[in-house]
Amino acid sequence: MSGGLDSTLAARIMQEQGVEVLGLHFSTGFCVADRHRLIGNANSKKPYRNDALHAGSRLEIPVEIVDIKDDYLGEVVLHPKYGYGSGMNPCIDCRIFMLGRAKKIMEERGYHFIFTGEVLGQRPMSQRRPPLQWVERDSGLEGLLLRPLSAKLLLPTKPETEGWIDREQLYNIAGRSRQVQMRLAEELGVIDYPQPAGGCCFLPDQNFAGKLRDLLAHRGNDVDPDDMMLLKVGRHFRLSDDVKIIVGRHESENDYLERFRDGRGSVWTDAFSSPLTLVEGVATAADLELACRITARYSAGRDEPQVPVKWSLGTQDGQLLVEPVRQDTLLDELRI
Amino acid sequence: MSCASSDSRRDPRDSEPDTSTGASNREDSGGDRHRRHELFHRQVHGSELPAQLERLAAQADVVIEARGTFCPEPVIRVQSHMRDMRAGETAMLLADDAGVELDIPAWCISTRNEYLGLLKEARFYRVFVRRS
Repeated sequence: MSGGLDSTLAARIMQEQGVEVLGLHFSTGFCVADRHRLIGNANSKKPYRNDALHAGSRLEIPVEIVDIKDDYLGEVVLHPKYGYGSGMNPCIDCRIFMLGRAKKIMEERGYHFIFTGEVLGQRPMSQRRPPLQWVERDSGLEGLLLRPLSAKLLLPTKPETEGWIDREQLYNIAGRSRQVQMRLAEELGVIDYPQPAGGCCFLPDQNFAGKLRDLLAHRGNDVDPDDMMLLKVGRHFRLSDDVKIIVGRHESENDYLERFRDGRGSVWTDAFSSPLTLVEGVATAADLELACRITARYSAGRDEPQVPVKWSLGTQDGQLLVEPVRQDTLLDELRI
Repeated sequence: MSCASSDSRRDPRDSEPDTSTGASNREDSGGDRHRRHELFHRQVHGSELPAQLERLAAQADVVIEARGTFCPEPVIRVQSHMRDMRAGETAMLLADDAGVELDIPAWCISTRNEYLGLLKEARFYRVFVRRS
């Protein structure tokens, strides 16, 4: 349950049929909304909130957050059986993984079936008819996976054939438009849902995917959730095969990067308003000088002839007087 | 996605305000409106005053440390501890992610636990929840 329009509607439809519902919200570590909560979103004045919890409170259904971050990276993102979408999004494997976890919870707690807010044809990779069937089969939920919004366009499931659910009261929604769902939301009194925005995951995002590909290319599978968290913020520059830097773009990102300073090098200037730059890998003197020059470039001293920049690498620290990088072409070459 | 049970049925309308006195939602008495407003306020802002929360801080049955973590991790930690707590016991969450201001009350409403309120310190929050 993401707390978006479709999953909230699906839960409301089940409530209308008198079904006891437990909402499961999977925390993958790749949620865009989580990132906005962490760092803020300059384009939004919305308060911080988890939409799934908020939807649960509106519908008065319990929502449980299931933390799958640790296994998700290795089992889904790095080795997807069904491949990636337009970015690094393994949507089909993701659904299979989450539904497999949901099945386990269903069995442990004595629930009878699973439902989702999936809509036939809404997403190009995972919500076509064949993938919907693969997901049902590979998650071990054959006959027990109900999609209330598109149910009338799909084969009847056990909850329908057994009469637990009235199929006639389900829907035949298909396609990418959300107009029908928005009308239905009004009818069912579902209000205050987040505006449909095409998903809440970083993995299809081309910029994020580029950074993730670069990380995997240089580190292999030796990556952890902290590495993923850092891909969401800052300007990323690859200085060499071994060394990458992350330059904060504003105060919130600097504060965020600050939390990841342990075990990484850092570069900043006290002379001007400055980004915090994290250094990953074993930096040579040339790498360090370039990191200082890039940091100076993004500081308020960018037009100065020289800027004093401080650095800290392991147990060593010091200061370099450097000329800020002037050429955008150099930055473009290094930018990930 | 959600798990659903077909035989433990609960009509969502059960949780709507009681209108058995004959008063409709639109025509209810000032007393009903006041009670609903008070319930909403307690659910969203907490049921205890700051002075009571200060006292609770020293008496909480469980202290949950979540400083340095980001949402939804603080909620996950509360959820996890609450499974092992008995009804009536209180938990104090220590967190520095502003997300707890909205997420913990929402989680409490959704799971029917009691949100007691929060105290804002200089660099973190103390958030109080009672197991229902």
